[in-house]
Amino acid sequence: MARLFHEVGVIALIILLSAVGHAGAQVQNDESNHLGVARCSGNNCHGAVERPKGSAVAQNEYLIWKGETDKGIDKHRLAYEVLKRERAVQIAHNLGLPDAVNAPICLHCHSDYVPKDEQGPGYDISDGVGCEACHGAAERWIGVHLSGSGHKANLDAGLYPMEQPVARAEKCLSCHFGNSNEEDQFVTHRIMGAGHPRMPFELDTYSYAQPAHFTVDETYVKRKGPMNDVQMWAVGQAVNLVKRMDALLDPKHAPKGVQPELVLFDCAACHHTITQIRWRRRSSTGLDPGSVKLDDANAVMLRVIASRVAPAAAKALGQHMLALHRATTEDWKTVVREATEVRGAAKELEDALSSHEFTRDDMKALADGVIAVGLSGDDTDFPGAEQATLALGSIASAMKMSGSLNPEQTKAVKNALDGLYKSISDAATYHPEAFVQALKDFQKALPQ
Amino acid sequence: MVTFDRATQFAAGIESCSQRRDGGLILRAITRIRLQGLAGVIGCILMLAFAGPACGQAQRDGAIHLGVASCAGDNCHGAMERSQGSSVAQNEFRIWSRFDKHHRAYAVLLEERAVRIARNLGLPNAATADLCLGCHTDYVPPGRRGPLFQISDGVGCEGCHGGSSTWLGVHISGARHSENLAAGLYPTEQPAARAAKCLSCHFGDPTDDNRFVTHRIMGAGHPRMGFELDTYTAVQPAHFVVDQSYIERKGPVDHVRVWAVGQAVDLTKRMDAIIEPKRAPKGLFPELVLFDCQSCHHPYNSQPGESYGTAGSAPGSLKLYDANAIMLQAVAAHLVPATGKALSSHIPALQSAIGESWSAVQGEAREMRRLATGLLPTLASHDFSRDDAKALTKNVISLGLAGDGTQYSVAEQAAMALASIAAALKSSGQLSDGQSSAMTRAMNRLYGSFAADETYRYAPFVQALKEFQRTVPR
Repeated sequence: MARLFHEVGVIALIILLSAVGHAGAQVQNDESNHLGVARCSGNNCHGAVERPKGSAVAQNEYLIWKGETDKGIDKHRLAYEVLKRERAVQIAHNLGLPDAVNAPICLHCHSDYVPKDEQGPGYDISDGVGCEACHGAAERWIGVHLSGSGHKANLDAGLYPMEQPVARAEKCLSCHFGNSNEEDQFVTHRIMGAGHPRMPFELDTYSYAQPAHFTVDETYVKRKGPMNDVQMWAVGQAVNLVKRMDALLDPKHAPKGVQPELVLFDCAACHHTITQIRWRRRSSTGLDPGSVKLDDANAVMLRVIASRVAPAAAKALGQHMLALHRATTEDWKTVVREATEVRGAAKELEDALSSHEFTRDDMKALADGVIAVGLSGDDTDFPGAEQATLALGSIASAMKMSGSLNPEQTKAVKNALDGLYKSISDAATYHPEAFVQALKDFQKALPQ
Repeated sequence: MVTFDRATQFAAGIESCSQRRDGGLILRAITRIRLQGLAGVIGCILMLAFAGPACGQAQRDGAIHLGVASCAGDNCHGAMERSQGSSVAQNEFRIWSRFDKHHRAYAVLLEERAVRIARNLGLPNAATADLCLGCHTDYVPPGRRGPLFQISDGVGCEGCHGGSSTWLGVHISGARHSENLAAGLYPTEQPAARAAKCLSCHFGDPTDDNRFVTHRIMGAGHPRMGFELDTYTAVQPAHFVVDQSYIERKGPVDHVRVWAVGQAVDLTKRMDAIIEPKRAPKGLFPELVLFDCQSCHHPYNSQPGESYGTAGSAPGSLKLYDANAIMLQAVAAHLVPATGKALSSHIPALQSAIGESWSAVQGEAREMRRLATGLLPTLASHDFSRDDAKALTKNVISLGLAGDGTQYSVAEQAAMALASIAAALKSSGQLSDGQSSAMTRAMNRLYGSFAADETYRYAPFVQALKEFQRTVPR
């Protein structure tokens, strides 16, 4: 598969990813032994330089992860390493920790962090976020897997179903957003304030940008079913919003003193320079100038998706998000009530989107919907622009794969996407006008 | 006789460019003067640009405001040349109308930025909104406006000196200053009174919705409002000259005292705002204008270690603006050590109360207010000697170098403090020309180190502070 559009905004993505840092990992409560990366990396397993004849996969998955192909290193590989660097040392110091490499609060996401009694003989914490962090403890399924019994048999034995959008979203977001029910698997504003980089995320884009160590070819489709980038994006938005609401509703993150958990708010709402006027009234928040706004970029994207797929849910989502924004200027009780409503709406959409078959018409309509939000001026805040750009990358990729774009159109869309990425490459100097212009250019590049 | 004074120098500067009307030249004139006057230049201009031409006054004098035209006659305060035997230069109106941003306070409400701010606030027009006019004009009710009063004069004479109907007659008759005061002239020469007057807009009156810039107004686009009494007195530009006749009539001017009193009054007013029920938290957030702007408004890709934390604040926590308290601590540590010590423990306690509750914050604010008002009589009466000035310089510098005190707001206050103390050292007449110009150059570099808050980094500031330290006479 030519994953054209996720090779596109490469520079911008690299910037995004470097902002994310090298974090990413998994909560491992599968309670089997983690056998370690070494168990998977044999040159006749996933460390092969060449694909053996008749193999269902390229078998170079380990090499991609390790950075030994031309795709660049997978940052999951560096997740533990980075804890030793100067920035991590400073963050640990600011948090009053002796160091980052021994702190569970860091290791939960910067390694495949499992209890001692689940660490097999080949397990090495310094591998960072290795195979089993995402695919699950291999002890249970490696035998079945080696016997070549087929993907379904692997899943039955305990392999984590990464190809399924909801499952993948939950796995990735358990660190790329955080789990609100795990004491130490959530980046609070305290950790951000100590120096942790911001964590943008979009499921489909980030799947490819790791870089992906899978190829959706005929054998993939035969074993795991077709892959639709638009669906991956859409489901990712729903799961992300559910998790945001879970975090907001988590009693651990309830307001302390006179401040709520700030990490749930739009970073750029506060972290912008104060020498230019940038504020614009947004009909979907109703907030006054000088208010601190919840990060609602996922909700805005989800509303666009739902408008096409499940219009009634879109309306409910829009109304409850508006009420949630208002509630932040009223009281915590109302926040809790509205966040619960929003969560319910997102949860319903999670199901609806994972079973919906996204057609070529859907793709075009969703691209138009994302563009329309930006052009209406209702959401050109930085996180909104960022999510819109990532969304259009995923939609364009799906359009390309489904044959909606001819080579000339493909080229035009690619160029326009580069423009969008450029407009969001630096949060500090972001200008809504440049984003809107890039959005208009992208709109022109899309086939009518 | 005062041999060197920022005000004197400024007056000289005005003469040299009295025919120039364009803003650039005016700025350059101010720049040159501030250079000569040992105060920082670029930074100051920038701060003033941010502060904008806003200002204004609480007018509770009850008198009729007769209007600027009543004062501007060419044989009164609008004279080209000082009349023989006059106790003042008589060009006060001319300085104000040509150079002083107070004069433009109303006009600026008609400009594009104000139009946008008004729109963001849902107001039809900034130039007719009480919310804006409260500080952008001498906003007295219509019944107290004399026939020559014009709202478009912005913050005019009576905005600061008080409604003149009660004292103009006495004043014109050549009465002594004390008689003018007795008749109702506002005592702007007294540091505490001046501080209260200036800060009634330059910080605001938290009980008055038309005279308090909330974070809502800031968010709509209002510029940040930096302030330091002595520096801002000099850069209005001042329309008074501290010469022998001034001292005879009003007493000597001590820049260190003006600075110190300004800090105490500013801190008191900030704590009043915290205590004021109108400024209590609404919804999930407190009134954010009481907090340190740059503690949130900084790029989040700044490196750790460039964090804006301060004692008492957890990483990622909101932080109240405490630069005045930190400056006052530097003063108290020298003059009233017990209060200095108390401030040093109450400043972090105030910050950490944010993690507890607003009533805990208010409790600490009351303590802080008590300490500030307790210092005021000492500051207002203390005769600041050259040794005092040097000791305070040392204290301010060591706060800046401590690492804790190097967030933007403290850097800004420290630089203005040092400029005021340096002006005092200079006006004591004991610095050689070489020492003066070395201090001036170092001060300019210091101002340059925080000229733009978005690019401010503490390391260059600390470096500039160390360089300034070397120019202070031992």
